[in-house]
Amino acid sequence: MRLPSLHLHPSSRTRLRPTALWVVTVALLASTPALAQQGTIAGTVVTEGTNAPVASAQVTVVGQNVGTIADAAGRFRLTLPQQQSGEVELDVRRIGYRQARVRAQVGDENVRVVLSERSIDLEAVVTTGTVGATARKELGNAVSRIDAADEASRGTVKSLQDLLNGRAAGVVIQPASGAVGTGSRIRIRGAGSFALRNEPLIYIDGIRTNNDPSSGPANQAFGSRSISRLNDINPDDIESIEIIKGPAAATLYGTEASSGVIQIITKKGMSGRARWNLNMKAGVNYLDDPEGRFWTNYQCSITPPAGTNCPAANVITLDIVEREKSAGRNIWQTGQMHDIDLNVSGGSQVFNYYVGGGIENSEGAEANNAVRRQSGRANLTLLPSDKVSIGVNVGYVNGLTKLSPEAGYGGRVWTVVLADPRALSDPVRRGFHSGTPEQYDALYHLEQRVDRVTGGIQLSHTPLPWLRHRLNLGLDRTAEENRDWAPRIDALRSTTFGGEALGYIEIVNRRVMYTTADYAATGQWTLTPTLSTTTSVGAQYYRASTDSLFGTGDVFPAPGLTALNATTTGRATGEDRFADATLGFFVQQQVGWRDRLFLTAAVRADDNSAFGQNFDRVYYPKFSASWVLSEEPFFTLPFLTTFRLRAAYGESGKQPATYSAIRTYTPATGPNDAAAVTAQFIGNPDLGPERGKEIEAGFEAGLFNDRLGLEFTYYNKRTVSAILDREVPPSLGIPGTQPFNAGEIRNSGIEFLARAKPFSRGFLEWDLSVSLATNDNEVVSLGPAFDTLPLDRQWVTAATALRHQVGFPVGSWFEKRVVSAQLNANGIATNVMCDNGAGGAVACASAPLVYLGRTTPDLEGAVGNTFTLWNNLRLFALVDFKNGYHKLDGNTRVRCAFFGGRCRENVYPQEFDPRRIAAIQSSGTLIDYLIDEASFAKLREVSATYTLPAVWAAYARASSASISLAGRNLKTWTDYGGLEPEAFFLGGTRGGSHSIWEQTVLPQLSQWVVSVNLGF
Amino acid sequence: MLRSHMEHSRLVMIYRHTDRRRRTAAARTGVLLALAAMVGSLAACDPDELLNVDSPSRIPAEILESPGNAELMVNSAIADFECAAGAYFVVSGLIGEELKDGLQTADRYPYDQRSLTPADRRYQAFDCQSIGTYLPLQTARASSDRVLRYLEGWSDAEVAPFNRNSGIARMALIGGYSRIYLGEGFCSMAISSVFGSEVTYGGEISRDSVFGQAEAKFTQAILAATAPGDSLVRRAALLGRARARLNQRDFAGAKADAGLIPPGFVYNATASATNSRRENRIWAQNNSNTDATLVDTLYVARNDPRIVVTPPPANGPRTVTGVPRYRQTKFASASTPMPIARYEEAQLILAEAEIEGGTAAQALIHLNNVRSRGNQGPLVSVDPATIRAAIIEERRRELFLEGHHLGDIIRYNIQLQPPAGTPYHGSGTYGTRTGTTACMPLPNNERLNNPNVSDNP
Repeated sequence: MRLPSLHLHPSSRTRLRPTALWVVTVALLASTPALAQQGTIAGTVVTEGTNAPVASAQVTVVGQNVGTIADAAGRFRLTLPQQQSGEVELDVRRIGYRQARVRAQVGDENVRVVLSERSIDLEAVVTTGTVGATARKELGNAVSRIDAADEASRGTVKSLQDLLNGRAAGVVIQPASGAVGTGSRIRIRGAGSFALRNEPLIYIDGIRTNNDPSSGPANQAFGSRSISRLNDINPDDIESIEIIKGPAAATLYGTEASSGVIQIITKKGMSGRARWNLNMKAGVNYLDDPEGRFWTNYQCSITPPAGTNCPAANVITLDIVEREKSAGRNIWQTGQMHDIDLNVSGGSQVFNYYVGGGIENSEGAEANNAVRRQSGRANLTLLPSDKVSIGVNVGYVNGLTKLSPEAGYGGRVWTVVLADPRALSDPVRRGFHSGTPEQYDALYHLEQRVDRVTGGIQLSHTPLPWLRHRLNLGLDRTAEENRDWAPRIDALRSTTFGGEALGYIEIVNRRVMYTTADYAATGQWTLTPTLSTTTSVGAQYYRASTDSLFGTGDVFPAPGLTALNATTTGRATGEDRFADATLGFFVQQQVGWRDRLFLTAAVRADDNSAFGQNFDRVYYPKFSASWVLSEEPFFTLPFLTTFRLRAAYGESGKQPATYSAIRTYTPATGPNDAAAVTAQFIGNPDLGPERGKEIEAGFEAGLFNDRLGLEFTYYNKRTVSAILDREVPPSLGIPGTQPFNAGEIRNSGIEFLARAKPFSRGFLEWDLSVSLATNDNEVVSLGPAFDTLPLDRQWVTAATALRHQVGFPVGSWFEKRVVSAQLNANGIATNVMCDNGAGGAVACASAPLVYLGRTTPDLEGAVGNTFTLWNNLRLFALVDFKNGYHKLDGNTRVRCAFFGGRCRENVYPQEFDPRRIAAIQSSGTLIDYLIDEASFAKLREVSATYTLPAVWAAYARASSASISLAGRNLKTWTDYGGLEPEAFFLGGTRGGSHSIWEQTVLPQLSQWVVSVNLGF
Repeated sequence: MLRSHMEHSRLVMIYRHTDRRRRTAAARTGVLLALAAMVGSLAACDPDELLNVDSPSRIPAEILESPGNAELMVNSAIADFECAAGAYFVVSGLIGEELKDGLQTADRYPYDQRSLTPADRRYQAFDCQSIGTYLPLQTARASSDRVLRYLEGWSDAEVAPFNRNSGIARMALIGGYSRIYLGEGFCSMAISSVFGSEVTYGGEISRDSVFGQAEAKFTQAILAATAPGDSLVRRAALLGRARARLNQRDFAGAKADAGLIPPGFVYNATASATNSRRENRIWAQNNSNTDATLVDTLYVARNDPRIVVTPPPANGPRTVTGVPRYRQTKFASASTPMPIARYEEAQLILAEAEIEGGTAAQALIHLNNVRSRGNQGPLVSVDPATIRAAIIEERRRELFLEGHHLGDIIRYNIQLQPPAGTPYHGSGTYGTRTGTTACMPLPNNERLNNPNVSDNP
């Protein structure tokens, strides 16, 4: 076995060390003696009609544990374990194609397998929480499946979140910041919770993992952290992603699953020779069109007399981006990105492996923003007998993410958005609002080092032909080291940075551990020739614990010191530790009739450590039905090849936050620095879980010989006993909020997916996919304490300018709305009237807050087009859109209404709508003009992938080679008035569960990447 | 007949077949049930053990609130109070004229800009380190009330060796001073409590009413502070009661208490540099890392040795919002204690009580006693208005940054400078909260979440 030679840049060798270890391991594995040459079969898998190669098709020998996966050129080679001759049967499968069985002679090197495409595949198997995989046709609910291996091959995705975006109807990905290494908010079928996290659960190969969307140092103000743990997962290791969207499908996952479940299935080896895959990417990240994006700022060179506006002669302006550019200074850089992944997979009859490793270096558009990450994965499967399989999956990631401050925490966008014309002559500020970009870079350092291991062991056993059971044991351990520090820079003390230039440091070391123990057994047998039954039982135990230690200190006595123990004041240390555990059981019974009608019933029981002492175990039921109508003899619609109806009802829950049942104190320091405590949390001993109840129904249809596939789902999800946080009145002397089971939230909508091949002739093939999802969200009730109040008082504050109000979507914008105003000769707004909430107008001082819009899209979707030319050139474009939500445009807020006002509106009010001017002049009491519709469409991904002829690949000693050029975030269509419709505070008091507030957040970066993929 | 026989045989066969299936099904169900039982036995292996989670940083109240922890509970309430008092000194200084906010943090402007509305988050919900006001003061008040109630219910023996009466005196003192600050700073408030699992919501009460409660607390402290080491607490309670009575215009009562305060007396909120929550908050906000700077025109110009500032640095005289960087030096470090009550305050209370009682000569003795500290020379006057104005001015100087000025602005209806409508350095103009309306409104988080407080002011 010859290893492919790696030609790496010498300077990257030192960084490659972890990967080098993987390579050695891989080499050892790949030289397993079981791979000695015996009987072989080789050939090509192609598409019917066009003869285009089918990459990644799974080819196995029927009756023998021998298989392989076709390469990018559709080629495969099988090595039989012992010398054989004669004929064998090959089973060939690929998602999106009809399964094929062909007979082949041992020794034949030119087997040709033709697969016909199908846009609906009911035989495809999905993970459901019971033992093994279940055919899709047996499920009464929709499961979205993303063929990650295929999607990643285009080079357009760099993270799990990119993979999810636009590829699963009803899964809304809202990226928060353009900085590399930051994360997104994920909502599946709308926000179903008031106070609890609305993030879905993430499983990797059956192991529950850390799904924290917002970690790291608070590089955004108001406590917002922007690094997502989902970024730790290398998309190149993912085989497929399955998304279970709501309680109807997630019942078996129990408490915590009502916001949906994302199952990540990593790549596994197949028996056969070692197949190497090398993927190299290089590209750039950049902020597109900064000159056109940022505003010109205005100011008055004098203080105009009270009640008057700036005389035109005194108006001064500044376009800081242009000005810096003309001075030869670029505020934003073009960040470089490099990514190398190498993996090998193969195996024998008793042992299969996939081992991969990668390094990634990515720079953002700001000098301090970069990600360096090394990751590795080993998935090993041992098959000691045909009854037992032992799988060991281990993933490891080690990385450093550096962020620049943003979103109210200062930084480039802040100092540019608020550029100060009056400071133009200031030699230190050069017209920047606060510091200059280079001062920010020198002073603020926000870093997260992460070291994460996710591993599991799966033991599967089939003791009897009809009985299978398995045990999954796993853990996911994340060690984060978060640092937010500034060195002492005396030269900056007299600038805007003031005392911070004396230096400070905050270190938070956090260890987050998820433990999974999951046992399940399934018995399956045929009762009568037409009736089959499947019974499953299972028990799961999950524990998530977080330990953190932190220390802060201020003022370094001298430049060059950066250690916590070198600080001289403001020292504080602390510890926090909390855990959450769930123990649950399920039993499920499925009955199948003639393999086309399936009825399922299940019940799950859960207990959780966060339930109040007055609350006991919780039970969740589930029922579903699936009917493959097109297999009924009476079904004779010729154009409708496949048709299935399905319906499901199910419940699942979401446990309260850890420790929310009890009143607590937290340690503090008292007089003489002796130990003390202070009130921390009021608790609620009656607290139970939220309960999600969902009904969904829909169909899958394959038309015109499955050339057009349609999937349609209607869902109606009710969250009852929704946990609501009410603010504790401060007079009780306890800070924060009190959770209680109060309200009811309804989410309903449809999800629609169409896949088609509108054109396929000669050299050209066109594949089209369209997905659409709607979400109608409404607070139905806030519980007994509110039900008796008048309707306009049935609300609670969700966050600044946000309410949960009965009859409106969860966490909607509520503010006074200016309906009329006039400008006097001096440009001062007069006669300002607001919406009185009943169609009339009233003086704004006494006006009620009225509904201004929702914070999550009510319609989202994507259109993907792939054109394949001459079988080897693939052109792809994905446009996605989100519609019907409003964002708070904090950029306009700080520019126009703070710091004296720097908008054109401030100096030339007569040019604008008097209502807008009235709000700007209101000293922040009227902000409706900032709550702006943020609907947009984005050209998210484009790529051109060329599969090189085999002879060319051979020059690189490769068996297959492809090259791609991929772009990301290339064009946005929107009427949104802020900087970027997709930017917001990810966490903290202005982010978190509901708020979507943009304030000096870096817009999404554009990206171009060239990638080369070689198979050996 | 034959046909019938055949049918019978087939039926038998089907029956036998079905019977075998049934038996197989029964056996299989048995296996599955056994597995289910095995799974179920997990439940029997003490699920509570599996669901047990611990967290040392979250201390359950039911464990903490016990007689053995009496001293810890008392110290904890004092710590709550000391931090809250520091925050109140800063906030009342910003609302008044002592401090000026030079930061870019928009949600701090409303203090300085005098435009506070009940919806503003910082003053109602932030903690003491982040210069919240209502919540920290209420936390200190409620903690001391709760600990006091526990101490009253426990016996001396239960809390021994801790001196229960001393504890009661300290908690009553803290309860009194928390109410003084709430009363002087807020337009109205509510007094609620959490005790064990009992939650009691208080209704909205006036400033006068809370001063009455403060007076009762101080009286309790005076009566309980009988131990030899409690004289400081007793005097602080006496001066606190004088302050509460002054606020209620009970000048004779105020005079009686203030007259008992000996020269040199001071009761401090302690501070420490070792922990940021324990820092002298004025120092932390004004000198350490931030730009809550002094007002130049009103205080710096007074040139009083009790109001010493460091001049703005030559290379950065103003903050980014244009405020001169004057920094106070009264509190020299993070660990400088902050006076809650002291002799000079007692003298000024006496001066005020005397002038209100019509004895100008006596008033001047007390006033000039304090004026001598500021190089002002003795005031010679018989005009009560002149003397009153001089007392107000003297309070402004002597009690600079000690949490008195906001109360004085309201009590004396001092019109703040610059006047409403003047452009504010942050944005917009100065608000209209001045004189008797300078008090902080009852915040929305109290009004909207307390069932016994009306939603409408």
